[in-house]
Amino acid sequence: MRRAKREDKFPENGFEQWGGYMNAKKAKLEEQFKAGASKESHLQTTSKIFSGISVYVNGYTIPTADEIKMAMMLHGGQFHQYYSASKTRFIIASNLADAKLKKIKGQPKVVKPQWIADCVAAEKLLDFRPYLLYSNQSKTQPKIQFPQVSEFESPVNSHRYKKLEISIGQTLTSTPKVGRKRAALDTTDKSPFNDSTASAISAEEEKVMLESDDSKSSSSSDFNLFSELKLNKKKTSPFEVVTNFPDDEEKDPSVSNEESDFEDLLDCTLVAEELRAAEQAALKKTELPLKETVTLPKKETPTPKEDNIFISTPKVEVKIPQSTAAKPKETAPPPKEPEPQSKKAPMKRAGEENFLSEFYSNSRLHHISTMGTAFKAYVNDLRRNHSGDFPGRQKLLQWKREAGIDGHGWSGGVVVMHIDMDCFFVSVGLRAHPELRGQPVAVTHAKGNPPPTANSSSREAEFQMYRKRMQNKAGTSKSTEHFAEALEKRLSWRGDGGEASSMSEIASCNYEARAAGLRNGMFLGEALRLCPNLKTIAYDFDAYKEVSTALYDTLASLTLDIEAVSCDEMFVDCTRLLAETDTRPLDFATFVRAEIKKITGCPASTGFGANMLQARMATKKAKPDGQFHLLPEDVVEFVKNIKVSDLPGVGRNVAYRLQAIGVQTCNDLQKTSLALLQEHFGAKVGLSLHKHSRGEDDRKLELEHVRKSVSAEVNYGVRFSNLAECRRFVEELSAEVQRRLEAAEKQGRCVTLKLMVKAKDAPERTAKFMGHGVCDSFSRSVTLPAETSDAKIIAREAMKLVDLLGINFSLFRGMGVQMSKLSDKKKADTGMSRFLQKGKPPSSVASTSRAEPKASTSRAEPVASTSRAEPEVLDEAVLAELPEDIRQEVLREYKLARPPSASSSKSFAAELTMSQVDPSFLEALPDDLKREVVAELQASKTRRGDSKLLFPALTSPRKSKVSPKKKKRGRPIGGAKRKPIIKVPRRENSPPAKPEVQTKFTHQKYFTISWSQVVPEVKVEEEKDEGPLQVSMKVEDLLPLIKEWVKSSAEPVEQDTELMIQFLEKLLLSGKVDKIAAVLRTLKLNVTRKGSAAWRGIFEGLIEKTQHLVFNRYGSKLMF
Amino acid sequence: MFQNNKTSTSDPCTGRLLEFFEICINQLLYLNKIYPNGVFTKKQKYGVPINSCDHPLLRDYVKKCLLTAQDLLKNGELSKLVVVFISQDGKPLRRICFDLERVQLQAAMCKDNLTRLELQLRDALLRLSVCDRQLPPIPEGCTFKILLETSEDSYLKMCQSCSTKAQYEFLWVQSKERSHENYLVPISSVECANCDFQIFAQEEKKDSDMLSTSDFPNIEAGGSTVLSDVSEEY
Repeated sequence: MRRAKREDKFPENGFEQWGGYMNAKKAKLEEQFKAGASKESHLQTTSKIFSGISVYVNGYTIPTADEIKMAMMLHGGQFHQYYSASKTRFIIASNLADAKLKKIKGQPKVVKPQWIADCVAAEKLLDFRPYLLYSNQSKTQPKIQFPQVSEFESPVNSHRYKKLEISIGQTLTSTPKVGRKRAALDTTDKSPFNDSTASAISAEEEKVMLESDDSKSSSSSDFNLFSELKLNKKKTSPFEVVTNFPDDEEKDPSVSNEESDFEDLLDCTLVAEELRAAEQAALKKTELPLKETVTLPKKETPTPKEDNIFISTPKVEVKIPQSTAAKPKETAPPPKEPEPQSKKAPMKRAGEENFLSEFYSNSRLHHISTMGTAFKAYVNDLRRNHSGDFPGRQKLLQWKREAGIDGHGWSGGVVVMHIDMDCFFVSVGLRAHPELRGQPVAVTHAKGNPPPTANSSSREAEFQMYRKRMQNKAGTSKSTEHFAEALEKRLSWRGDGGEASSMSEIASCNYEARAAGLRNGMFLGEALRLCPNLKTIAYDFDAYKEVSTALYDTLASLTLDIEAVSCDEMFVDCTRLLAETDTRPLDFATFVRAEIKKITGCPASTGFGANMLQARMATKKAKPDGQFHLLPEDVVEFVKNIKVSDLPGVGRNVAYRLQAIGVQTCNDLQKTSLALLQEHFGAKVGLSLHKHSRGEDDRKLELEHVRKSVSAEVNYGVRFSNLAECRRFVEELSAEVQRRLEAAEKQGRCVTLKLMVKAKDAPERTAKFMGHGVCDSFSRSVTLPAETSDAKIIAREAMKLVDLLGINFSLFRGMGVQMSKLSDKKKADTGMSRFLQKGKPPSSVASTSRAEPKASTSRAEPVASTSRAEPEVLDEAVLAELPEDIRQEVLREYKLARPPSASSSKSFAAELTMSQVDPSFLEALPDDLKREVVAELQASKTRRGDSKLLFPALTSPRKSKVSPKKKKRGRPIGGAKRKPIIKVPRRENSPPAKPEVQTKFTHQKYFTISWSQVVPEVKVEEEKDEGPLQVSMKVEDLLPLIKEWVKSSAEPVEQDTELMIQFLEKLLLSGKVDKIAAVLRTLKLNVTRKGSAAWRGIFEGLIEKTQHLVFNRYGSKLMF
Repeated sequence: MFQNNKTSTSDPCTGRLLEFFEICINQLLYLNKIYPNGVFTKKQKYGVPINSCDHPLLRDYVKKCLLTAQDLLKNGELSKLVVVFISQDGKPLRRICFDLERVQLQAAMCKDNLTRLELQLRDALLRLSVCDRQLPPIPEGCTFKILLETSEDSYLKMCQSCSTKAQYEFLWVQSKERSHENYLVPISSVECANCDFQIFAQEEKKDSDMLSTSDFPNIEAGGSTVLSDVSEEY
């Protein structure tokens, strides 16, 4: 139907033979360029420095496009007027709009025009990398392990790698040079790449040069000092450098203003930093002393690390107390958890051996989240195993007596308490570091080891993307700025390399630190900027667990109406407790907090309210280390000042959208009509917002925690380099899910795969080392026909989903496997599955024979069909393990399946024949009849051997069949056609006295057997004696039957034809025209192939009949 | 999309079906080039790229038809939904027929089945999108109609109950059995629990060695069916 072809749009224009107008034009331009080049070369000196380089200029540049074109002409390069993804290697631009960037196809390098100028000035091809406008290199990440082919194969490269051997001190000296060099174009020999022998002499020269340069700029003095310092450093003793250093900083508080300069500088240092991958060895060497120098005198410090410190001058002070500080006592001990970045071994990537276990031993979120669920389960356990008495209440009563408090004035009513430890991680950590009390302290992974610097553009790009996405979400542009501001706060700060750009998040910080503007979840880099004397301590998961357990035990000794939220937070329904002990809430709080403090040494805050929401808000008010009871009469006023973002269920997204409609506090929210809220947020969220803004909350404490899903998800370090890695990672995740399922004694039915895929325009390198960067999320799920907790099945399904998504694995940045639709895994199930395992061989036979149960996903799950398969031997041990009802059922099944072979001889042939008989039919017969039928079957089998039967194809393979797997394949097919066969011998031999047996027999046949066994899930309402051809069958399953039918016999048997007609009629009745067409098509094909006149006749009759029927029904002829 | 119309469709299965029909109708219009490609925007449903027409008049027409269909479908009284393509001289050239006689949506569908249904709908949609392989392109300048087929009983029932609902008053006419030479080309089918239907095309015979098909010979074949003839054209 699509007729419009490309050619139609472009009428003939005479350029066809050159491949169209544009191609012709391009070719001509190229020729002109060449001609121009040769002409120019006569007039001016030329070189070949750009040979092999092709550029395309985009937008306004200095030097201009014309000048660049001329330069390319003169120096052997290529200049493209039109960008071509395949030919153009470089795009020269001084600024590229996002839209333009997006349009670029292929992988050209976008380089600043300065590169051309510098190359010409230097009369050699310089490395373009320092000139990249946008690069994929992230600042903070060392370049590790990623197999990246260096695309730039110019000789410069070899220079660069030579540089590996240069000590980093030299790199340091060369960096400012590069920075200056950009300003001073006339310098010729300043590239960091060629003077690999940078020496003190050249440094001196440079100093002079730098001074002259800097004198031009207004803020030259700081920079000058700065660079001088660096140069000094090389010449003088390292000790001097460091002692000088603080002075230097004090003198130049404005250094930070120099940031643009520094950024330049950084861009250049990037060159050196890029080599990190190869320089790993060197780096490690330097890292080692760093860690050891904690107690050493300062003079040990000027390791190569220092170059970072220099560059990020303003932040150095921060650094010192941590790694090289003079006060060793104050520094925290090195974290116990190995940190990926500092690991001696390179960071593992997903898909590599043990990645997951390592990840889970490092991931902070994992620890915290598992603690939350662990405590939910813990409370469940406590409740289950509770003896009924609460020892804590005795204490409470005693305490009340001692303090002389009574419950006077407390009227009762519903009271929910929310209890939350104050900056949990910090206060737990401080137990081990009492000396840090009173100082700003944060808990974080990073030890403040300076991450390598890198160029800022990719990080910049990433933040830009986050910002854009956030704005897109808002939809309305109105008041987006408002929110953007908040976002900006998080994003605006982009470290310029150095340690202060650490992207490590602060898990928790104490109130002293918060006073300085720090918040949980802030990046360490920014935190250090805000609060330079911040002390960091490492995670101590064992201690967290200990304190949490103590917290829960304390509360559980008082009441069990607890809903665990996380390791340090819970809701307690105190209504009963307070009534029974006759205590006022605030007295109770005093008691509980004192208890907790006594046991754990950590402060906790409690809030009381009539519901969970109020309790939570009260806690917020109570913090730090306080208590607050939100009385019902105060609620409305109290809520008014609450920010909407503090409400439960209001995340960044909802908050953002609320801002967009001008709502910031609950007061605003109260004024907003329910209808408006529901319009914006949907009925449910709208209603809950409406209620929450009035302090109403109908959530009930979830006392009995039920797990809804079990998952394992990783979005850190996911970089696959091949599919096998991806698969292995999926398997690892699935194994983790299995472990967790087993721990929770659950099994699930729905496998969900979650993928985070690098967003299309996201930079290759993420701002956070090995983080996921800007991503699109995908999730796909599949429901299995039966519950499972088997990692293999989960992995297989998940992998299928991965394939289904069809996204390149190299773009994956995060992956998760989740099981939902959970059900309890009973003990019996293990026995059952073992039992089913035994029964598996026959079942797999069965399912190969065709037709999986209707569920389309069932391929994965043989279990369903297995249950009906005939088990060869019944495992008594397993049977004993089963619950009574299941055992009965199994036995019943077993009996049904077995009797024929039980009664008949074990002869192979007999068994085969017997297995074709519907066992339920046999079972229904009286014993004597049964025996007769069995005998008859055996007789007929032997007969079949010698008498010429219509289905040689069926009989012969059966005899030769040794492996039962193949055998069953043909069976139902044969069965379909066999009807007459058996009937015929029967008519001759069976005693006429039992006509009913006969008819029944012919009717049921073993089709029924095979169908009922193979397709146990076929709808119940379908009559069983329908034969092998069932309306509900899938086309794929039907066709082989038909093929076999035509193939197997020289002439069609009349019964079979009738059967077929009946079947077609049935199909028509149920309107399955597609199946009719498919059947007829197959018939036609096979009959034509067969070339037998008899068949053709039959076939034509069949067609005629069918067409007639179709016509009657639809008024048209079927086309097939 | 149709499913967004939450207020009107309570049953998720009906909603999905109607949405499917809407997509199919749009897709058919696109495939048969009833309107210039420019009026269609590319979208995705079930992960399948689809083309939907944004013209308000057309959307309105389709929506009205489907709202009517919805009422019938809910009661299991919609026997067919047909998209007819009519040549410039008024001859029906092609009927794409959704044979819904066995769709019974009264019983609520379980979640699994809904997922299965979606998979099947996706499959059907994919097949429909490539049905131009089986069907020759129709000449330019054709128009289309949407026909709904139901039984006389339900028509009468509807007349009584629907008297208030004037919003989608379409002209209902007695259907004529058409029995001249045409071909039935199965396109796809959906089989899922109680939602079981076929999609097929009925194609005019091209080489007209038979009498010209300006008018259909009427053969009343049993079942009295009522056909809604929706004759808004664009």
